[in-house]
Amino acid sequence: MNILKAFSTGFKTALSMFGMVFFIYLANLLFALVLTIPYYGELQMIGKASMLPKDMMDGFDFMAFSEFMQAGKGVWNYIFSQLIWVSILYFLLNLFITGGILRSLNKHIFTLNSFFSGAAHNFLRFLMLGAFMLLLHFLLLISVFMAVGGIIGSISKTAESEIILFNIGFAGAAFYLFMFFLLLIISDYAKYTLLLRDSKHIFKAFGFAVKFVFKRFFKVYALYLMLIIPFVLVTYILYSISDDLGASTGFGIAIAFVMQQLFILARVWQRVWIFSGQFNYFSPYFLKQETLREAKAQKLLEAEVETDDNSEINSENE
Amino acid sequence: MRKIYLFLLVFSAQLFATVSAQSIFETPLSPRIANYEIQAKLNPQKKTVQGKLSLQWRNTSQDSLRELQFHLYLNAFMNTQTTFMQESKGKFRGDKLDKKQELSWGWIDINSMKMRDGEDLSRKIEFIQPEDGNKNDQTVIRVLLAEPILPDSTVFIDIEFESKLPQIFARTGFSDNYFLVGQWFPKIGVYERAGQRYATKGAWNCHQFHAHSEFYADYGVYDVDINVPEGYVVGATGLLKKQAKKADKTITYTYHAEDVVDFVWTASERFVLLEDEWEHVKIRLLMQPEHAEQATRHFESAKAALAYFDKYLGKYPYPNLTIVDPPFRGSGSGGMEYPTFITVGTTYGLFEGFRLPEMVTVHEFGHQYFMNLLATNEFEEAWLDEGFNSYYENRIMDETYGEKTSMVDTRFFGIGDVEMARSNYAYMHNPKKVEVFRAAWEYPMGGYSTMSYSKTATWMTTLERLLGRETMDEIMKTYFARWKFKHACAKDFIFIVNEVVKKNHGNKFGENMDWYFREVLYGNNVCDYSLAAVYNLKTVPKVGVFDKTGEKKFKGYEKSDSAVYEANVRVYRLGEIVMPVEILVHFENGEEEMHYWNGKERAHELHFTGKGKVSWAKIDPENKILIDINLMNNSFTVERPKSVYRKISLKFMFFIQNLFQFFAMFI
Repeated sequence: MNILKAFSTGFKTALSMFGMVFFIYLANLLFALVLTIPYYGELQMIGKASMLPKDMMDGFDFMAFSEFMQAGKGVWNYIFSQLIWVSILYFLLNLFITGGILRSLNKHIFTLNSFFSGAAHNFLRFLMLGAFMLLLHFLLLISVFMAVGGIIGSISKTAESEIILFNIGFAGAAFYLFMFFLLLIISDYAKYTLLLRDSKHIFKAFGFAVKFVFKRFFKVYALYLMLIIPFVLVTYILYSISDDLGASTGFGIAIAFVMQQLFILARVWQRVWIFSGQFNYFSPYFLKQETLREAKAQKLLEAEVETDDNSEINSENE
Repeated sequence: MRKIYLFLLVFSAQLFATVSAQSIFETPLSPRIANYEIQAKLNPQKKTVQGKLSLQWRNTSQDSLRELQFHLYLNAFMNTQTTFMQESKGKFRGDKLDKKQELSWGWIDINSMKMRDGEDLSRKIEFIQPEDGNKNDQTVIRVLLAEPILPDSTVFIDIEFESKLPQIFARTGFSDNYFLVGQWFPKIGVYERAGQRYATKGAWNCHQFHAHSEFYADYGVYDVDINVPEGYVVGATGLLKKQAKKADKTITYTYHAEDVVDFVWTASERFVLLEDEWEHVKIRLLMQPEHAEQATRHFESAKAALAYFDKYLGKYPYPNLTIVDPPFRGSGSGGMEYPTFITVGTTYGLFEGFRLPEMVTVHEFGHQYFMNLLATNEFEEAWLDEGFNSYYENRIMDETYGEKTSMVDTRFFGIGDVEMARSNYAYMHNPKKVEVFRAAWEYPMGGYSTMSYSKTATWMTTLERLLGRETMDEIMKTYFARWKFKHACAKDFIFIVNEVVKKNHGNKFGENMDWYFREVLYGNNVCDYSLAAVYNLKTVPKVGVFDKTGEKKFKGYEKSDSAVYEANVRVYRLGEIVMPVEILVHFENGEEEMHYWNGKERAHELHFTGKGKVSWAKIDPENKILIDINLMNNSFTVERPKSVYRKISLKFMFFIQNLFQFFAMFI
């Protein structure tokens, strides 16, 4: 399957699983509400009966914002710690959900039963893979940061102007982004391998994914970029119209809310699209490889049997 | 024919000599007490300046002086034990001195010092430490004289010196082949005669070089020859009068400056020279090539500042202004002011919405007024230059680039200069930490910049809003007209404030404005007024037994469609500072009433009967009292503005939903 076909079939598959997309979106919304509802209460507590916060109604106002931040000094740390804990929970939930998504994509149908059984079945192996990938992301970040920092640190003592430092910084950031996406791609294909093999060997799956990605590097990377382009477009559209959604009235706020939720829905849907596009591209290759592997194994087995038979005949002759 | 050529040559030479000697101002603008002729030769390899200096100094006091005092500022960078290095720990505005390199350190040596009449002073030089007694500090010298300097007499002193420039981290020095040569020559202190500023008797005012202090000097005329290798672009205080190529592949630039308090120069092979002008002022911009595309930003902000000061304070008398953009490794010399010469600062590709270059240009230009034209003592009263200048910087920035966008102007948020200055003061950990009025080196950690810059700018804005822009401008114009080319101090400014306020407002603000300065300048109290509550109560109708004509009559409840309300507005003074306060009360029927309160009691109530319910009330509705450290409690509304919290919560929710999806990418 070529990448264009994978892109379009991925789109169709993701579209056909709107129920699943909406279900994941609801999870996102619920988790966000867990934080937002107390946050709304805290805002009212901080603002009390002051009229100053009204100045923020028509957009950012530094004076009102900074006074508000000052008045709620103790509260922000509390909200931040809540945000960290809920984010960790959401991260775990997503590990769970991913198993469900991939099971549904593999079976080409979304049912809650199949979704949850897939989610539960794959949770532990995806958790281990997720932890391993997070470690790699961390190592990548540290090594790029240290390398770029080291180069900038040594050059800055002799550089004539800051341009070279900016360029190194940009190059470092570009390299980091490139590697960041590469790790995401490898992580995705490792998940498909785990799922299709129904295996718990995350390192073998990771190795298989690395081999797969580097064998057809440009195609795999191009497919990923193609799949994130719609997201970039949607983000750009939201950014462009955000000024028109001034949200300074109740109706405006409602419209802004709808637009924001459509955007989040699109993000969730886009994630499913990435999965289905890549999965569609990967599964024929995987099946072929597995068939070859099985054939090879069969051949080896047959050869072994033949050797055993021959040795038995020989020993009989003796 | 040869004769004609010879005549033309001699005539041209004479004409040039005449032009060179021409003065800038027909009549002196200042007392011209300390006048210098200096020959300086830069050695770019050794980072040194060899100098010969002739000082003509006039004793304007009625005292016979037996000693002279000089600043040797560069000795602040000799070693880790100087007062400057002890106070700064070798760091300044984020830059630090590379202590491991010998070339990084700086100093100044006086090789000889003689009175023109022959007395050799070289052996009479004695280091003194007027403030801290730190014997390792050699930034001030005293020279005892055999013959006293009589009142109103003039002396000539010839000095040979060598300055080793430090690696730039604090205003002056070198970075590769960029040189910002400031505080570089032996500079005589100010002899304050009895009655001048706070002096009760004549005395030298010559402070050590501290980490948090700038300078103080008398006015004079400077004629300076600067010799540098060919290929260097040079800029300096004053006007370039001539330049002459030498046989040793160097060029000598001759600069002439009048009625200034200091002389600085710069040299670099990388400068790009750009020129523009505003009315009578020629502006030279010496930029790093990588910043050249930002030249317009510097020119436009400089011209905005020139026009603003000209309109609201007084004329900029000098014919030129030099703006220097340091390289990034010499950024420690950026954001500094010298007469007719300022250093700014930017970085490659800086987004136009971040107006740092504009702000620095406006601020440093403002010091042409609050430092040079009004030569206050920056050691002892830093707020008089930094604070007043910040106040004007706030005004110029906000009026030129927008009240809410003058500092940062992006699509999603903006920050104004006035509000930023206020926030620096109001949100400091302890705004009662220290009073503004104290010597620059005596502020506790973190106090200098907030108190002398931000708090002063904020109380100046508050004063302006209390008195009105017209009165404030009259005060400042009077201050400028009366004290330009002199050394003003706090009491001189307060005297003018009292005079103008009395004339324009009578006793509206009290007998005088001393109460204001007692709090904001000499005191460390804070101002905080709070609108504590608004409550509306139905008035109790007249019911019960009434005795009108000796006959008791019972009056019971009667049904009425229109309830009568008694509304109350309660205000507190939470801070110690007492200010006259305006309170705006808004009724449910749309009517509004403004009430004036002297702000003295700790609690104050306003009562309204029969006017309907009060919807909301605001203290200081026009935001006059910017020194109020808490603006959140300045208003009270009966109906809380829930929609804004909904809007903010919605944005928060959208943010975390996106954050969640970002995390989901990793899985």
